[in-house]
Amino acid sequence: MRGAASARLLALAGFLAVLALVCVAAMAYGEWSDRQLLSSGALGVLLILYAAMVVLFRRAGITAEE
Amino acid sequence: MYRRLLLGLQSATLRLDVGIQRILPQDFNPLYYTGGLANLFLTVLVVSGILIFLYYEPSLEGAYASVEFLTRDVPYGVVFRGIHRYAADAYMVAILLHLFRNWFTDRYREARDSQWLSGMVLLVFSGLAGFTGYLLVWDERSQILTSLTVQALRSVPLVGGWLAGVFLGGPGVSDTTLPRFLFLHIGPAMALYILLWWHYVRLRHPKIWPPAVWVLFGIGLLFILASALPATSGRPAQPGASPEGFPVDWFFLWPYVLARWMAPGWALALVVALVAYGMVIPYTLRETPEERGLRALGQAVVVEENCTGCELCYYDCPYNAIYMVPSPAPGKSRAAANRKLLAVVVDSRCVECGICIGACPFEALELPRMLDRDVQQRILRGAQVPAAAVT
Repeated sequence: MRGAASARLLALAGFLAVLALVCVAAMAYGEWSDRQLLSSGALGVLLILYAAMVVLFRRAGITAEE
Repeated sequence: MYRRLLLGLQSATLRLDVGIQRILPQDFNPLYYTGGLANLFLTVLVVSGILIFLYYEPSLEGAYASVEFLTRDVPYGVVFRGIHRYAADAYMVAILLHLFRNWFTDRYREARDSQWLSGMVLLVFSGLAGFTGYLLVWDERSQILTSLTVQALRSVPLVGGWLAGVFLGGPGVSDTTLPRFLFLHIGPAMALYILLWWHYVRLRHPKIWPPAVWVLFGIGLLFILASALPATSGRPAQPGASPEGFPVDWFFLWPYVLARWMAPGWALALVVALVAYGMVIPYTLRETPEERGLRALGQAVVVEENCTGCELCYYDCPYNAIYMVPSPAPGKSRAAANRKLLAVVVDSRCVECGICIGACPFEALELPRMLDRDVQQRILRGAQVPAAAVT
């Protein structure tokens, strides 16, 4: 993949990583304030963000396989 | 007409694949892993089901209260209940996609009828396990479903009364009913794993688990659904009451919706007819290779003197049609002189695909009636090159 396109995908993955951090904070807040549905919902979003990040890494050409 | 419809559906299914692969890498295409996704959701169902089972009390007095206790008072109990509920729907979506994809792409004919039939039985057991789950809550919906099911079973000729008695655990709703429902929920669910063995036993390379991306996505989706739309109970069942209407889960309770317009017995008959039709699908419109414009190639044959016992054909055959046995005598070629094993073709499983011939570097397998002309035609069809363009 060309460098510019790859960089865009990696930038998007970085943005998703920031969102993932927000989800972690939401999980912690939900647990602290006894809002269990908030915690579990944030965990769900976090898992989907991880899945999206894996796809973006793959499309950017970053894989563990050689 | 039917044939043209299936051809159109096949074309649409393959176009869908192409469309998805414009977005996702090819090995992430979820349609390749519908069976694996079903296994993922089945695993989630088992794990969440065990957790719920720890709190469930199978009695008329205690069932509803135990489910409410789990939902309201157990930490994250509402989440586990929701995950169990939505994993069941996701499981049904995955197996229906699996069913239709394999139907529309003709992956049920010939030696694959074993997978199709086992899949249909899996579908029936999954439906049974799914719908009995709704009875266990013992709320008004459970009461209506129980009543409709008993009416449907009693309308079965000759054995109807007996079937209703087996379903209820006695002549009517009693203390043995909820334990019976629990058995009818867990028993078929456990049988699914035995049926999965039947489903896979003739496949060499089944995709039994989806890629990590889809595991993360699937479990994440379940957490989101369980949090955004928590699973709740209706009002508790009241002895002697006859509540009307209930929230419908279309994946498991659609036959009960039919019961609004027809007698429950006819709705049951329709379900039985659909399952019976599903069972005979592999044997409908069956065409010989000649009718499909192909030459009958004959089952693969092992050329014994050339076989080196290397097992490449054994690993490559998708239909488990090749077994390796101890070699009774050395081969004649230099490569085969010291072999320990010999390939043997199980004729009833061979679909004459030729994969083993491609796998064998020693020319130890052949399709007896395959001519060079057939090979050329297959290559041209695969490459979509007009025959006139080749001289």
